[in-house]
Amino acid sequence: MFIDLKGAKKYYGKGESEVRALDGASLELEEGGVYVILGPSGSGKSTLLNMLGGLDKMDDGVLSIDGVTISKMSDKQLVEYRRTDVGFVFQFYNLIPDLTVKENIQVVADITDSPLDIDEVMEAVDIKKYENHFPSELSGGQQQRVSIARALIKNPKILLCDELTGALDTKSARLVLKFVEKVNQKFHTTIIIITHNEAISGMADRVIRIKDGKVSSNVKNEKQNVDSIEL
Amino acid sequence: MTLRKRYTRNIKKNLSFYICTVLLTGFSVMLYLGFDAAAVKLLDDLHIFYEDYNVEDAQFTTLSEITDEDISELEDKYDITIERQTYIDFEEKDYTVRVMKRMDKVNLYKMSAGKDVNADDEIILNTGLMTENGLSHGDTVRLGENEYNLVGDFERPDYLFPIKEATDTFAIKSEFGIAEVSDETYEKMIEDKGITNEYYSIIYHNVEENSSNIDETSEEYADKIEEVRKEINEKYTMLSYIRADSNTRITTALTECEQTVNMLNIVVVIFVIFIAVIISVVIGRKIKADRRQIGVLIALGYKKQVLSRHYSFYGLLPASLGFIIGFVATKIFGKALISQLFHKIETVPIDYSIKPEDIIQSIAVPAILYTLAVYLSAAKVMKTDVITMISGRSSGKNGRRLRMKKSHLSVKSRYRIRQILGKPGRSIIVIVGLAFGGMLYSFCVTCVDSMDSYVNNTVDQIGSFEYEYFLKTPEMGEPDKGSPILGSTFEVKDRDDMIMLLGIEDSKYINFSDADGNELEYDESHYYITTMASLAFGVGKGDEISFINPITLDEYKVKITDVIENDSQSAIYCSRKNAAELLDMPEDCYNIIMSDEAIDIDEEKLAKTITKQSLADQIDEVKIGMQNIVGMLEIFAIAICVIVVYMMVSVLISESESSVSMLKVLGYRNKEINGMVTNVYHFLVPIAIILSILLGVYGTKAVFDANVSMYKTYIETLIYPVSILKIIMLILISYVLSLLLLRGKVGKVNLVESLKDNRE
Repeated sequence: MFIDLKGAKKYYGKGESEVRALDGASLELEEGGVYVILGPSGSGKSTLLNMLGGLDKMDDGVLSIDGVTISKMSDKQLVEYRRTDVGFVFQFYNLIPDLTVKENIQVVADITDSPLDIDEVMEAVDIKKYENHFPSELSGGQQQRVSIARALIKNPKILLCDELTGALDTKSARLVLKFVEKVNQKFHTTIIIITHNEAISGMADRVIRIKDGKVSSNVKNEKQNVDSIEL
Repeated sequence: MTLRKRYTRNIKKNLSFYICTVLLTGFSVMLYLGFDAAAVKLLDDLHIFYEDYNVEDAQFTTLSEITDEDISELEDKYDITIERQTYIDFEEKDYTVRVMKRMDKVNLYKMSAGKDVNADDEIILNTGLMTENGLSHGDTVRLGENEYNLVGDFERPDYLFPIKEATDTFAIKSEFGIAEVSDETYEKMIEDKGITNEYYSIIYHNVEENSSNIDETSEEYADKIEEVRKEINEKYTMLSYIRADSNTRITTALTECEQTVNMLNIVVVIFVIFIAVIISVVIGRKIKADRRQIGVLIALGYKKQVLSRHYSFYGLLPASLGFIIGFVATKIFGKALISQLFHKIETVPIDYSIKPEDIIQSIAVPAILYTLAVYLSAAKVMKTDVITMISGRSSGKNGRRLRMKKSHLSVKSRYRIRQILGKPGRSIIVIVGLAFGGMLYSFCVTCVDSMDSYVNNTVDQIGSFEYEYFLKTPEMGEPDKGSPILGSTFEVKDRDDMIMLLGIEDSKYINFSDADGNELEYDESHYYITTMASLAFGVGKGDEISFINPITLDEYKVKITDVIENDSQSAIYCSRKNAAELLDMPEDCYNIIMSDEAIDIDEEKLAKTITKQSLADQIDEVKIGMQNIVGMLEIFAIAICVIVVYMMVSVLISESESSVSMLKVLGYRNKEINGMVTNVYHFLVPIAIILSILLGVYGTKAVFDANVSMYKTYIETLIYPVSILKIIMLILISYVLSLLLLRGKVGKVNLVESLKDNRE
């Protein structure tokens, strides 16, 4: 199994104020698919994404990706893991404001051994014409596409998207999702999308639901084209 | 108010910022109270000391003795005070002690510690001589064949700069000092050894009451002085006349204080404003970072004025804590610091307490300035509409960013350039902070290097002679050995300074070259001025200079043919014949002998001897004193550089928190992030280095140029390459040190949390 998570636990606080963000979550995912993780606020979706992306460590449980045990990695090893294997796309884009579009992508290419061609990636998400613009000069949808390009440039094994359309209007959201779909088809990247938006689950190979820190369901989905999804 | 609870939380959160600003404020308060205000007070107290202890207005010698009866007559006639001063020099193994006859009317002494002499075997010394030789009350002091019990130490207003010869440039306190004994013991000393020298001290009482007895400028007062001098010269034939304002034994203390005040007034003001700017910039940015909370509070009904006042406290805190630290430090180290600054002069026997108004000023100025700066910053942030503030977005003014489309620089370099140019205020503070710290150090090393070069080279500029013998009375004809010179001191017209006129036989021992080192042809009919006098009096090639015979008050004017390089003597050179004519003396007389070897001259005939070595030793002494200050300023300089860079890079990191966090998420290692974010100001370091060297060198030059009269010498400004290297190293070390201290900051930036708030 490409992603194999077993009994993941992550608790915050102690005593009465203890929050069980993940409470024995388990998950198995194949390589190259599009997966949508759904769940209400506080269900543990973002914590799960942080674990998968090597941003945080779990208190208990085992996570292995492509046969490598991530959960036992040191901080230094996690840096290397994030550097080579994972790409992130966040709700608020998190672009570096003092770098242009191209430079925001280049900054990742600089630390990647075999990055993809920048121009090709920019063209893939249709932002080549904005390459010398600063993030503040772009719309939300355009910024999110830059964010996707930045995540893709290293040709990651997994692309983790946290509420990637949360800050966008319907039109922009659809456009961004179409690019995500295109990326999956073109680069065969495993894509995990965390969202509140049930509609997005239409584009997924599998839909995973999380509740109270546990995976409540993990079902195969009849994958639809983004254009046919009612956002 | 609940809002106040934020104060402690804010302080805890921004502890390093508060520590830095408190330290900088403390430093400026210490600079003000410990040096500036102390020097102003010292100056006031010195005037009072001179007044209370009847410092002379002038001293003179006469061919005929002025009897006590004649003195009384003159005093009554002109409302003046005259007293005859005699002294006996004892050349001991380690030092020379000048035992002064105790005066009743002029130049009275003040006990610094211990008790005054009561018995015939008791002696008191000036404080400098006592402490520099490790003597203490109760010790035995040997003078000639006799031993005396040291019972106290004192200061005399006319010997605060204790130099043996009036023409000496620098004081070596361990090698020369003055003493007082009982009248009976003094009489016995005269019987045994004879008087070494004598002169009359005079005070011209001013027509206006309660006014200092020197630096008088009224016409009536000047006329009186001229009348007295003419009468004394006519009746008793005046041989020499030295005004108090050209007597460095008296003026050095005053000029040192004045110069310190002048210099520190500028330094302290710049420093306090500089800190206020840093504080307003840093707190301003912190307030900007708080804009979401401010927006919420305004939405909840808080008035903008209330919030501005709330934030103003953040400026009040470093001002008050800084004051406490600066005040305590001044109390502990103040006397030692000011002594370092005035190492040349005696420990002035005055109270080193701080004036209440200075204390109030040192707390009020930073408090008002910082509070105002923060208030204005807060008010500026609050101009943004509430919705924008609550959303956490900036007001849309992101400053201009360079696109650098065609640049081949790396992304890192482009990022750094935009950080520097995009936030000019922050960058300017880094440059100014580094340059300010570096300048302090650069100023000191330039002083030391210039003096070192002066010791090594300038002393040789005077000429090839090794000995200069000054005779008590002029001789006729030619000396057996050496070169004869007819010399006399004149008052420069309209200046409080003297110049030597040296009539030479030939240019054998004189270095006759111009400032560029070109040999000049000596012409017997011409007049030449030294570079030092040229600078001091603003007289150059082809100019005329007027000077007055201090005895006859006759005025002369000569035209200067050329300026000869001599940075240590204020003199005009001419032929012996011309000098004799000006002095109305026979053509072949002389009163100075220059020689490259020691000459055996009858002690009875000899007034004093100057050797090049003694001159070099005196300058060396100042250099050592300066080196102590350099050591002290080195620490200050490093501290300022480290604190400023630390604060500014801290601001930079906290403002780039989301970028740092994102870089971490993207897989950047902490070292790489430090290389990109923390090392932004690398580009500015060379600018700061160049600025600090230039400011230090030009600052030193300005000080040396302004002090030609005080130092009685012109010190050419120079900096050795090794010192430049030291300055570069100091700035680099400070810079690297602050970056090292900040290394951990990047590691502490939360990987996940800051991502949530990143919206530009």
